[in-house]
Amino acid sequence: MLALQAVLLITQASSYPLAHPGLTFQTPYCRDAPSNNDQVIAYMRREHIQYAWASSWIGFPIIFKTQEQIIVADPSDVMKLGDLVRAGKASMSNYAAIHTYLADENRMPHYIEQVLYADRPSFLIFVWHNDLHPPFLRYLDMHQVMYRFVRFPSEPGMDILLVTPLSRTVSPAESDTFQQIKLTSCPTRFGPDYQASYFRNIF
Amino acid sequence: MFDTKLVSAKTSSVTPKISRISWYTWPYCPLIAALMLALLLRVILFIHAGGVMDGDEALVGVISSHLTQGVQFLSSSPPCVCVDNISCSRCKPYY
Repeated sequence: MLALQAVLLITQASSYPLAHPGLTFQTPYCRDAPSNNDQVIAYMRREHIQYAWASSWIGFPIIFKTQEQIIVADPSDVMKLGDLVRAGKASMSNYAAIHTYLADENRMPHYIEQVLYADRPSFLIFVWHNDLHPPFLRYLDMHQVMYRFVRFPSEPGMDILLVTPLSRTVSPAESDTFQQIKLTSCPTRFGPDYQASYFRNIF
Repeated sequence: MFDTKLVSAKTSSVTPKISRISWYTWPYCPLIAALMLALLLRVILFIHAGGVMDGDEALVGVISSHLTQGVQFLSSSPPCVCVDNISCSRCKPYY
């Protein structure tokens, strides 16, 4: 019995050093978020980027680590709001209605409002390491938006792309393309080949 | 005299002499040893992983820091963080 327990213990303990440092404590909902976002935060501070859109899996750790000096909000609800605006059921200039709408978002809706009304907030998006010109950059090119971007390594096969529109503010509500390209979603939730096969038909 | 004898008998019956070493005293303490070993392994794992924090954990951290700063809630109901989509309808936004 003691020998069996020792075998079990050694087997388990030996797997610990083999565990991937970046993936071990990732949430099962998104294993692409960078386990170490110090580089991203340092860059954003250096470039005085205070507001950005990103998945909450990227955003909240940045907000927490910077003690809210950098606010990063999930654009999903704003993208849905864009649908209502295009359908004529809402207006982006009706701030009170937008406030009420976003209040249904149960995770820090005031962050969303702060980023929504910020001047040229950046975007932090997941891109595959070998995807040199992802759909979001193609969208900006198509609409003649000047931008600056930088890549940061995230988890294996995945990068974080920090895009800062320069010529104008890009709102997640302005086009349904952002929903189609799943702008800030974690790609591995949909399988590794999801983006490459799906986005081919969009542009 | 009678009472004294009775008390002595009772006392001797409730305090039997223990002749063997208890399971929780050194070095026969497998439970404590197992706990210490488990703790050690997890500390090694945490150090190895570099203190990764996911979005949900960070959100709890943000709310906690608000609480320590004395932030008042605008909502009449206490705030809650919906993580499992089961009790979301009862959650109020956290401001």
